[in-house]
Amino acid sequence: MSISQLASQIAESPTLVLNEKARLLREKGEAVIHLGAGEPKSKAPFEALLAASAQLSTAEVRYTPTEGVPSLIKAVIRYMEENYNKFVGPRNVIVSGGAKQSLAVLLTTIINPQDEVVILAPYWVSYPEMVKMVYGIPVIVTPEDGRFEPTMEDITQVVGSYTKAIIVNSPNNPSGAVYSEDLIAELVTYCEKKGIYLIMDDIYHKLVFDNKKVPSPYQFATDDSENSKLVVINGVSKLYAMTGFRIGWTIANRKVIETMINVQAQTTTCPPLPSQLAAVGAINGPQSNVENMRLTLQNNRDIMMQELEAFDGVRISKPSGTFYCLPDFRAYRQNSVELSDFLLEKVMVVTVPGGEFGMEGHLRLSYCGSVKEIMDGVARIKWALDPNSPNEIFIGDRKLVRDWL
Amino acid sequence: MNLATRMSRLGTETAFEVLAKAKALEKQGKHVIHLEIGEPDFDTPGNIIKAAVDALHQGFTHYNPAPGFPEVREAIIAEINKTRKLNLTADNVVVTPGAKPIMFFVIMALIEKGDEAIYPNPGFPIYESVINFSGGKAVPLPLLEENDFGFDLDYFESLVTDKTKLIIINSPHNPTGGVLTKEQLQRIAEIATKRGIWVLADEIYSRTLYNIKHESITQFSGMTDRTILLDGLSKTYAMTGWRLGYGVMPVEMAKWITQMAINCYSCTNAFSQQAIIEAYQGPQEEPEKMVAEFARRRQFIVDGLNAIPNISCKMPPGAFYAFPNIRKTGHTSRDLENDLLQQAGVAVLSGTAFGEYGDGHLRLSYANSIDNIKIALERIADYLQK
Repeated sequence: MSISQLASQIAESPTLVLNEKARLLREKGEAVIHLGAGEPKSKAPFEALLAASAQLSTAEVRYTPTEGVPSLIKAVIRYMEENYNKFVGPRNVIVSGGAKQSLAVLLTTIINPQDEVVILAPYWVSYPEMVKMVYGIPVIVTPEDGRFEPTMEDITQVVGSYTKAIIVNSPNNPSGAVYSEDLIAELVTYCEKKGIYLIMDDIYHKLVFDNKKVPSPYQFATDDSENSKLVVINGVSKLYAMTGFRIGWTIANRKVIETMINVQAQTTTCPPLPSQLAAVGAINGPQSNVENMRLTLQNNRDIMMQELEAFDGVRISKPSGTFYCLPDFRAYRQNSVELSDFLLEKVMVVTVPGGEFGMEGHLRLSYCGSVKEIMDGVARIKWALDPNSPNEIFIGDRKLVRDWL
Repeated sequence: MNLATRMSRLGTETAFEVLAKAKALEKQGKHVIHLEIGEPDFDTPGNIIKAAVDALHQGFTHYNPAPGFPEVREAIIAEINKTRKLNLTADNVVVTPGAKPIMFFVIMALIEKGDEAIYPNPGFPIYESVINFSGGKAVPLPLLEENDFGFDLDYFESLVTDKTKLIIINSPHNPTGGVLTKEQLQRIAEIATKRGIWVLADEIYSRTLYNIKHESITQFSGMTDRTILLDGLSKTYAMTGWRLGYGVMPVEMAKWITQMAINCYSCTNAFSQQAIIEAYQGPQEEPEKMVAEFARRRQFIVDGLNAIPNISCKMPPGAFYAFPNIRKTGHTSRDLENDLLQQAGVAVLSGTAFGEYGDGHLRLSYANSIDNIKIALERIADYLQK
């Protein structure tokens, strides 16, 4: 098939491929433990379900303005005020079908062929592919051994005349790291000085632990005008366990938003109306769900850390946010894809290879499942890799005897 | 501002611009009758709404596979196999948020600099816009009133070159309401096969047809290997705000389109998608009633337009648009669009919103009540007599 260069160079999403593998194994009745998941299993907030049902019940489910219905734009403006101490106007907001679409539409709007976009490793798997999709060039910054936060020096070394944007994702998928306030402040100042876009993917910004708080980038900005190239992307997916609703949004200057609206109009017209109203319900409703989920995730993280600490060859870096961690398994295997495949095959544990995030030798483990899944999952991994562990284990009602190591 | 240069190649969809202008006038207290938007004014059938609400409460609120839930794709392919007499599988289906992503992805997957795509003109403005956006050459195929807005096959064949990679067809057609005959489709199929060209068959209005049956290009030998059939729920079940469409295509193409979907928006809304099963498997009286009502309005609006001096309108066999010829009024399409909105309070679209060959026409969507259509026709007649 003669496919455009564009389509042919986009790689598959490894996380989605893994999900499919896990689903097929589960269908066969295998006792799979999914430590590769990218979403909490929690129910969506009641207010969200109610708002979507109420909208549907009117039976008038029509097109909405491309940028979203006014009530959702208003809710986002209030969200920005409450969480970022930032006042934005309605023309600084566009709602999209998930934060991923927000980023895709933004990149389509600002990136020219051959423009470079700086991506900080470890990074979300989709960033490089999304940059390639608009014919841009992803430039990866990898911090020195073992650390999950780059230095300004690492970053400034790769910025040149072709650099159009830097993407920052803190709290970070896959490492769970929360970048220091100093780094964010320096990035804001640096990008202002250089006139490049600073894209803050803040999708996990409220899922932080140990009383940490993610700093608002706006407090470091000096350019508050409509020329500002500071862009914030967020959405309801992770915060409210609403991944299936597909609602995200972008905050940027009016010219960028206006152009994004035209791009989105041509690709999806508008986000689904019932989902938009569900998002209004979630944002304006009681926020106790968010705090409950945050506490659950913090507790899960502690358990995950405790289990991994008992595991000799694994180097861990304690995450301060999200529901991921990225332990270093290089003491056992260098190739993370092989290791991940091995674990799925031998002990039915789904993990995501760190190589996909620009961190070879690591595995991304999620702790958004149950405590039992975390404990059993790590126990199975330990059994498969650690020669000091007993050579028998029960998986479901099957006894496995280790014949390797 | 430092935006991507490709932005200048992206057009706009005038319908939404006119809608915005009309809304602004309404805010100032003006009364406007909306005949500009291609959106059924009916309610979504209750059984479909119930299915979505049930799905919402059953926990269909999480990520789902990028090409759609397997059971939803099964329901779609069963419908397609039944209505197009095909024998395809769920692997041929990609579900998308509305049908527009199929256009966007297919064009982006096939066309790049140096390639050519033939598209109908007048036609849905997104075709031309996205072809230009991809960097390829958009080759218009004029659909003229004297040919009943069908393909002039000889002219079409003369447009095909070695660089032609894609042909877009849209039957029933927006904005003219015309349809391609079985003979025309067969000839297009032969040419596409002979020259190794892909076909994007936009069949979004496949159920909005009056007294004739839908003909799909997929019925001709070998065409399912080179056709992306586009359809969706928006127009058939009055579900525009749900954002549910899909493409049916060769498995290998489905793989590429899925890849692009993953990198553009992950997946389609979960609970809405579940309602597709009920839409296709549940009772069909409601959509049939919608078509019957459209048929009544079609007669009314076409008769009404032809009664206005200097306007002539052919009876469109499909879709829900009238595309009258207004050349004899002495106005240009664009001026008339503007004047009718500003001075007569009727929002319509200039034929040029659908390409240069739409000049001399207006598009009136009859997705509005007979009462409103009646007022609109009176206002248009009054305006032209002034």
